[in-house]
Amino acid sequence: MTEDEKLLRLFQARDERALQAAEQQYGKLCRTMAYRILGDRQDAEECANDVLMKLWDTIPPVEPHSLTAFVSGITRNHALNILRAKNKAKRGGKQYDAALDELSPYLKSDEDLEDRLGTIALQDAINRFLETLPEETCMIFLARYYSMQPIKEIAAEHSSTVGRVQMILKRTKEKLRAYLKEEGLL
Amino acid sequence: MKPQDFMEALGSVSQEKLDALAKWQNAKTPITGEAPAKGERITQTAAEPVSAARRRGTMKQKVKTKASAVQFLPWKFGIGVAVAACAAIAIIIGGGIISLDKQMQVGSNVGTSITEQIAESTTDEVNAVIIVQHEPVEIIEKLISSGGNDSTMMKLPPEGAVQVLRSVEDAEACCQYSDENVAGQPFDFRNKLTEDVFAEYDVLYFAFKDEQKPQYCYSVDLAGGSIAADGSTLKLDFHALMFEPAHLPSDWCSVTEPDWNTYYFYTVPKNTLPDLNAIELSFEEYPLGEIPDEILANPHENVGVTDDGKTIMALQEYLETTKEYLNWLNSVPKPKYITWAEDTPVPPEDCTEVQEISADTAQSKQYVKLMQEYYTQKTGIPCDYDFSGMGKDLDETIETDDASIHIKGMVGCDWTMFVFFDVEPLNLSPENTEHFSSKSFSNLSDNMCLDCGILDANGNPIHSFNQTCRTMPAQQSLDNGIFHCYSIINNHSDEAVTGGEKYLGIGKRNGSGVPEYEISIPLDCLQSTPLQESSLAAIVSTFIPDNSEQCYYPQQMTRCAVTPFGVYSVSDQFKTVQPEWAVSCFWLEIPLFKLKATPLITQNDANGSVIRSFDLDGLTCWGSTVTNDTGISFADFLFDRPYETTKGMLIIQ
Repeated sequence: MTEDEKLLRLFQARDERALQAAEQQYGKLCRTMAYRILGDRQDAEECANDVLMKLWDTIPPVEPHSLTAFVSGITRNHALNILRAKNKAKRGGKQYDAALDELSPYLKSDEDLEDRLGTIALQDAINRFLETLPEETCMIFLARYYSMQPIKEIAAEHSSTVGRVQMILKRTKEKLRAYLKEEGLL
Repeated sequence: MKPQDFMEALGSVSQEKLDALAKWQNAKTPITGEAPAKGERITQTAAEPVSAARRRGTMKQKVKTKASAVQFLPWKFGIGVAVAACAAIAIIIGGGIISLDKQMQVGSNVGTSITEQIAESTTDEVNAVIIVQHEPVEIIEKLISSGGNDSTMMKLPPEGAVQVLRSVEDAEACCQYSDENVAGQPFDFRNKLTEDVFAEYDVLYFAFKDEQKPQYCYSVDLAGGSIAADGSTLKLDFHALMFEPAHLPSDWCSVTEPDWNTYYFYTVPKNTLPDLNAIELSFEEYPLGEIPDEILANPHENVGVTDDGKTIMALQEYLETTKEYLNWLNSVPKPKYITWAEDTPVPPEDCTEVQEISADTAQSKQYVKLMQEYYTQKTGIPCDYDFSGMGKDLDETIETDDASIHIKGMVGCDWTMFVFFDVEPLNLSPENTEHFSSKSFSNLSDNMCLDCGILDANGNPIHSFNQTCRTMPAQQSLDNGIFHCYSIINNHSDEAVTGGEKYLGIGKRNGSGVPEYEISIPLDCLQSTPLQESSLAAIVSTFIPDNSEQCYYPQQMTRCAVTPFGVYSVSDQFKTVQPEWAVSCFWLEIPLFKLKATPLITQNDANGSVIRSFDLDGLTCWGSTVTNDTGISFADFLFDRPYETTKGMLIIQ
């Protein structure tokens, strides 16, 4: 049985040791990701604690296929919510800001995307766009803009160079811009 | 849409993708690069075999570098030139020769820095290519070499044939050269070209007509080869042992028979050679002396029919003791290599790494021009040395109450770094204007000095935060209200700057070393110029006050680095009781034993002829650097013009 499976069992059995085990296994991931978005260690710590409680609340009934993906998804969304709530959306964590800056030249538009319908359309378009990408490119793109992993870290962890990762991201952003234009979202 | 909208929407990415992302991140799968869309330029990792990349269609452009060299070659813009090479360099000091046995890898990290520099560019146009490295391919082992009567059954075109066999299937196809309709032993060596061989090697096959060899040739041996500029032609170099026609008995067969062919199969490292489709042959001729008559008695019968082979054996025995034969034998290099055409950027497909460079980046190498301008102004001789890959363009501005400082670029290596910037003095009084219009920048630097140095990852200075700002050598007055300036950063330690996370720090620090203002720029552009072992006779004798005692520390220079900027030499580390001390003496007359007061520095060719001579820059210095209780002595010879590290020998006497 894998560590994830053991952890899921604990959650499903409503065993409170699940929280401790989740902290050990995913605490660092939560804090790192939250810090990249929030840019504040205390906020990141609180966010990570919230995420653990959310895990407790959602498992069961949810049975995530990949705990890592599930935890990172909750962390990301919760951190963004905190950022919004604290009205810090303009300037957040270093990596979040950097990611915004990187995307800005490709996604700037005069039109606001305020309405719910627009948001759904964008979500749908993004998912379809990701499907068009080669697997590796897609992973690099998500690592940078979903996980907000620093480019340097992506390069180092995947035996590549910063320049190469940047180049892949640059091309992907260009494709994204073209794709969203075609979809009428830009 | 705002980027924030996108970031939020991205949160809804499918669970499937997130699972894949988690898996990818955990697996730390190496990035291999996507297969490019049609017509799209690509990049390729250095580790990927050339031919593999070609087979999967990822190589769109090739440029090649010369053998043994780490080099940038110009492509469309002529922007790059060799910045490094593996060249054996000898330094002669004080009459002794100090060989740097290890090859200088001057440009070993250039690929990365340039790559990143290029990749950082955000321009859309991509229309130039840079190549990083191309290693010679060793010809490992001769599997088969044959000729003579059997070879007449080969179906060989008149111009010969060449092929890189990568599999048994390739070998099968190659062996279709055999003409099985002709009686006799077919040309078929499939029993030697087995799966086992191809599991480990590729096989370089080439064959040519005997008539392509020089007439009166007794024997040939392969000396190596090179891949021509077209990327698919193999130029083969043979050393040919030649009879003098006058010494060849008239009835001796000409040694070359029109119907005979010569063919070779050599193993080579897998996936190192591109596909080849044409050969060019060149034969360097080594004449045999006169062969005694008794050796060549009745040669035709014996050689042509080989019924007893006595003449051949006698000739062979005789040759093995002759100088000409031995010269020929020794002339053939071992091991042999296939190299790549020199100096010519070739269009096609084979290189170990191709990186893209934007047009803007390619054209805007301001730092190269700045460095050239520095040397040109220094000597009055136009400098066209190509510093590409040794620095980076900068565009940073510092505003102070006194001046606006625009930092334009930097160039350097592990030991010496130049920073170029413009200073526009503000609020000048008439006196100051007159003062600033003088030649010297020293007072200006006192007032609003720009400290430059190397910072570690935490922002702490580690090398020379100093005030060596100067106006460019030829500047006599304000140029439209601007001083064009430079600063030299010296690394007077024995630890290279490259290889870690370091920053160029530019700004102003107070007496306690605390920055009043400062910018830091990632140092990802420097040349790696490692210290090489040497045994310099030279000794630097440095005075260091040890606990108020006057102590001299005579130290022999045991390592040095030859760079385009000069020679930096250091001693072994030594112990002192003085915890922190540094002394740098900016004197041309370096007190190196066995040297003239003002050394004569020349670059000589292999014959000892002087190619060019150098003067020392006024910032040449020597001294010692002590950290904690450990010191090193150094002598930093800076030249008045750039030194070609790849050519000839450097002589300092």
